[in-house]
Parts: sequence; C-alpha cells; structure tokens
Amino acid sequence: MIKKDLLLFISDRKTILVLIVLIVLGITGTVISSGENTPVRISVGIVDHEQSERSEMVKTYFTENEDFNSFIDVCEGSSGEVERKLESGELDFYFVIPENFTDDMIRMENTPLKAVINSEDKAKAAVYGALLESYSRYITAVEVNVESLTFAMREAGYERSDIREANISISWDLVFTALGKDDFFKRVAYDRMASLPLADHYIYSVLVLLVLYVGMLTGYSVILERKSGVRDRLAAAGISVLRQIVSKVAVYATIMSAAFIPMVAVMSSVGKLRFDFGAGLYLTLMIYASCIIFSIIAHIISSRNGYCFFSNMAILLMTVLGGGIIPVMYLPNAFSSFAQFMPAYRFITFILQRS
Amino acid sequence: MGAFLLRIKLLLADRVATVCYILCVAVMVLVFFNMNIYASDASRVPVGVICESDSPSAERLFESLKKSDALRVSTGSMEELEELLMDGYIGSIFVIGDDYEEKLRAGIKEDIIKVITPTDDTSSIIVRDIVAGYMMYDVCFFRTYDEYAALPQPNDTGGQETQSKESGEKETVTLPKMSEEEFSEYVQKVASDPIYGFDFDIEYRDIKSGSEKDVEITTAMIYRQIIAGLIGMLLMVICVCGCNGFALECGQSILKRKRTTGSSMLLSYGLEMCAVLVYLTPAVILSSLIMIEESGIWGAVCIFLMGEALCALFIMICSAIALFIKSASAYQLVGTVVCLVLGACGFINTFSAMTGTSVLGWTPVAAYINGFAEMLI
Repeated sequence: MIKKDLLLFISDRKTILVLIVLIVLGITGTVISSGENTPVRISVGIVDHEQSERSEMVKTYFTENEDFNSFIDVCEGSSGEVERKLESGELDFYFVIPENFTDDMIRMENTPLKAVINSEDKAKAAVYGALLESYSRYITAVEVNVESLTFAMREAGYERSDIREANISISWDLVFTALGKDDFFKRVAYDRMASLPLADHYIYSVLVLLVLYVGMLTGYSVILERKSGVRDRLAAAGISVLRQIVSKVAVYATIMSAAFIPMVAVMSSVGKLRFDFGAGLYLTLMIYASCIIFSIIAHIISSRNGYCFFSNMAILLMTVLGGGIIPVMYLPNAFSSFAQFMPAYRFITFILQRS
Repeated sequence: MGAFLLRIKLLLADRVATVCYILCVAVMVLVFFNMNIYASDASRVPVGVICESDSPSAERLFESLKKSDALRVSTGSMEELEELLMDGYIGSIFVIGDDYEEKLRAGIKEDIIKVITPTDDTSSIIVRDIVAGYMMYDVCFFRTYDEYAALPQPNDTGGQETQSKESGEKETVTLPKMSEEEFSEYVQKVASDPIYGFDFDIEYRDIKSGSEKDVEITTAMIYRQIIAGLIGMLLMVICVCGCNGFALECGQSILKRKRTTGSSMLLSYGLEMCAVLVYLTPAVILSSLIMIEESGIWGAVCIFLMGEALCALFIMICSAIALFIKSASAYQLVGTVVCLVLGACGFINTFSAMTGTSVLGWTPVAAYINGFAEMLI
C-alpha cells in the first residue's frame, strides 16, 4: 500500500507543482517581510511661538529623554517649515505652542495647544488622537493641583510673595513629574512568553496555511481514488478503508514534513523565525493531523467539487478565526472565543510560549 | 444578451455558489452589523489589571482604568491574567501594589506600578502613557499636599485682611491649615469647576487631498477598517464562487466548443462577467449599508461603488485564473490563496503604524479599506 501511494505521489505532477508554488510564495513572503521589518518611529514637529526659557526647558527635556527618543523624532521649526514637512509626509503630527502659553496657563487662561495630525493613515491618526487625550489629562491634573494650592494659600492668608513662590515651585515639580511618567512603571519581562512582531505573525500564519493545504491535497488524492473506483477495488481485495487512510497519510505527511525542513531552514535564515526541534515536531504533528482530518472528510463528501469548496471555505474560516489575518487580541469577542480551537492560533501561541 | 442571461440562470442554479452566497450574506448581516455597533467598545486596547491595595487612591485608579475609553480591562487573579497574556488575549498586566498609596504619600515617583509584558515588547509604551494619565491626578495631589503641609503656619507670614462685623474695622485673620482629607475635598471642588480642563485643539488633515476633517478619528476607526477588510475578503470569496462556472466550463472544454460557433468571444466573456457582477450586486449593496450611520447616504453610495469596483476587478482576476488553470478544483485552491494573500496585504497596510509597511497600499483590499475609511469620516 505504501509503495503504491509513494508512486502515486511522485507521479502526481499537479500536486507537486501546487506545493512548490505555495512554498515559493511562503519563502517570498518571508523575504519581503524581513526586509520591511524596520522599527516604526513617530515624527513630531514643534512650532514654538512662545520662545521662552520655560518652553525651551520642556523641549530640551523631550529631545534629551532616552525613553522618548527611542520611538519619537522631534523636529522644531517655523510654521512654514513644519507645515511643509507635514505636507511631504515627513511628520506624523505637529504642535503649535502659542505666544504666552505658559503665562496664560498660570493665569488659568486655557489657551488651547493646536495639534495638526496627518490623517492619511487613519489607524495612526486614531492612536495619536488617543495619546494626546491622555496628555491633556496630565496637564489638567497639574493645573488643578497648582490652582488648588494657590487658592488654599490665599484663603489661609499667606503673603502674595509666598503664594507666588509656592506656585512656581509646585508648577515645575508637577510638570517634571508628569514628564517623567515613564519612571512610574516598573517593567517586568514575562520570561515565559515573547512578543511577536506583526510581520513574523503573518509568516507563521502562512506556515499553518501551508500545513492545512497539505492536508487538503492529501484528501484530494483520496477523493480521486474514490472517484476512479480504486477504493472499492482495494476494499474488495480485503484492504480496509482505515488501512488505506493510514497508508495515504503516512506517505503524504512524511514526504510533506520532509519538504518543510528545507523551507523552514530558509525562512529561519532569511527572516527572524524562532525554530527549534520542539517547534519542528509540533509542525510535523500538525501536518499528520491535517492529513488525517482531510482524508476523513474526503471519505465523507462524495463530490470532488463539493470537497474542494468545503475545504477551501474551512481553511479560510480557520485562518481568519485563528488570528491568521487579524491577531486574536484585536478580533471581536464573538470570534476570539473560537480561536483556541484553530490551528493557526495554537501554533503561534506554542511558538510564543516556547520563546 | 443571451450570454448574460444564460450566466445569470447558471449562477442561480449553481448550488455551491448559492450556498457560499447565502453564508457570506448571513455573516454580513449577523456578524458585521453587530461588530460595527460595538466597534467603539471592542477597539479598546486589551490589558489586564490587578489591584492589590484597598486604599482609596488605588481603588480610584482601578475604577478609572475600568471605565477608560482607550482600554479594555480584564481583571482576575495573577494566574488567570497570566493565562490570558500567554494566550495572546491581552498585551500587558498592570499590578497596582498594596503599597501604591504609601509610595505616592512618600513622594516616590519611580516604580509605583508593576507592568508585566512579554519579553522584547515595545508596544506597551503607548498603553503606559494612557495609564499614567489616570495616575497623574493622585500623583500630583500627594506632591501638592506635601508642599502645602510643609508651608509655615500663615500667622508666621502674615494673614488675610477682613472686615470685622462688630467694629467695622479691618483686621487680619488667619485660617488653620487643612487636613489631608479637607485638602482632598478642596482639590476635588476645584477640579469640578468646568474652567479647569485642558484640551488639545486637534485638526486632522489628509495630506493627499489637503482636506481638513471635522470628525474626531478614534480608535474605533481602526476596528472599522478591520471590518471593511473582512467585508472586502468576503466579497472576493463570493467572486471566487461566482466564477467557479468559468473554471468548470474550461475544464469541460465548453469554451472551446463556444469558439467554434464563431460568435465574439470577447463580447460574450464580457457579458458573462457583467452577469457575475450583477449577481454579486445585492451582497455589495448590503455591505455598503453596514455602516450607513457613520458614512451617511452619499458615503454608502461611494462604498457601494468601491465594492462594485473591487468585485469587477476580482471577477477579471478569477476569470483569468480559470482560463489559465482549466481545472475547477485547482481554480478554487488558487482563488482562495489569492483571497487570503490580498486580504493579508490589506491588513498589513492597515497596521502599517505598527509594521512600517506602507508599500502594499496599492493592493485591491488595502485600497478598498482606505476608501471605506475615508467615507466614514
């Protein structure tokens, strides 16, 4: 039986061709994504109409802060320069600090700080909008507390000079406390799990997609045998359907698993995939499971067209629900609850947890 | 016109295409309408929060985070949240320790809250900025109270001039300093005054068209772009099923036989593709109505036209695949792979803020998502 299936596989040029095309697509995707995987930086422009010592101090803080500089480029210029840079796409957004902004704030005249966001990329614009909203919360907190102290001191009968002195002292203290917000957090890396860049996420999804298609092709060869009457003839010769499936799966899954080794090696060396013996074993088991399931489906569905339709739809659904297209974290709740039963999700989680 | 009508009849009689059509329409009605309604809620960033302290400020922070518009907070024990982190349902865990308020009182500005993230994580910087916004009020309050408490008694420095009721003469009176609770109430009273509250004057500008947007672009927009991408993929799947007949006919040599009749193959093929487009039109209309509340009627019309353009393009691609491959099963396989690849390209482009990949913007699904989002604002 195994010899027969081996000969069948080798002579099936179409299946081999489809597999080669899929593998080439996977490797090409890896090469393209590894080239594009550059860290994203945010470019922010500042137009300072105030030009005071205080505004200078705040700007210096931003340009010299390491945490801030790790993902943000700050560029200062005149209105025209900054506007031109935004129009040419060099800046993601810019602020305009109006004249007497700090003095107005101290006098509780809330001159709004104008922010112009490039909305060409809607997702980026939405994230920047949310960030600015949280920054306005910082400023409100500082403003309310500074003002409360001033009022309280005034009501308690303090001298004006003392109130002014306390006001300036607490203002700077709170402003720099707000600017140093990154220190509020003690970051603990969870060593049982690594994060996954989105580009790598898609590469793993492609791998799982290939595994599913390997299973589908195995099932397709089962259905071809069934249509040509080979299955019935083998059954008449005393070879049970179970034995036929086992033989088919053993040959197809073993050859496909072997074919995955050079592919994964190429993907690991070109991209940044984390692969080890355990991951390879997990992938091999998935190939076997996929071949078994699709072979069983091929025994249940009688029409070739029906099988192809069902399998393609199932693969599409499994890929979407398993977070292969959109990461599970961002899937709607209704979808994400199904994710844990999907191969793409299981494989990606396995890889992350091993890393 | 005969080819057009014949193709429509064949499509209506095709069980596989009909099942696929009904399934896709059902998904649009049952899932996407629902997803759009809850877009604002679902688009929030998923994080886990543990509050180990029962101090008022810790509880206030915990409640604020749970009510945040930007965060979707999961709560539970450390084990439960670690499991959610491991399973990829949340991106980070924030632990408000039992010494949270003590640290604020002591004026400590470092390591107030513990953040657990996967190793090599860089995306939690933005989430930390959002959480810091909610902490800022209490952090500032304790620092301000420290300053207030350290002040010398007012009678040492002067006083407030008031007019005595009995004698009518001006006299200087001083008030005793407030306790922490009194000062807290005082600050809350000041905070409740609507004149305090800073806001950015945000202007959204599309640098391509140069137009300014009046509508605020929220994180729900990201979610709606995902829905748009899924709709685009669904329309492509219906296209693949609708063009299945072409592949079957090529496989059975019906196309060759048609050629022998001497009729114009180009016209006939064009009419048949138009028939598939007409067949898909009800699904496209439905897809344009999913977000009519956000897009308005004119926007819905534009989304419909974009949907028709996407389908027309994909029908041409599918027909070319069918003509080239000449086998129904191989056609379905290639068609599905093309759907997935184009869908992934669209999503990669949508997430370009995180991946830095914007070269895929020209792909059909990416262009459809961009156009769709444009109509929503």
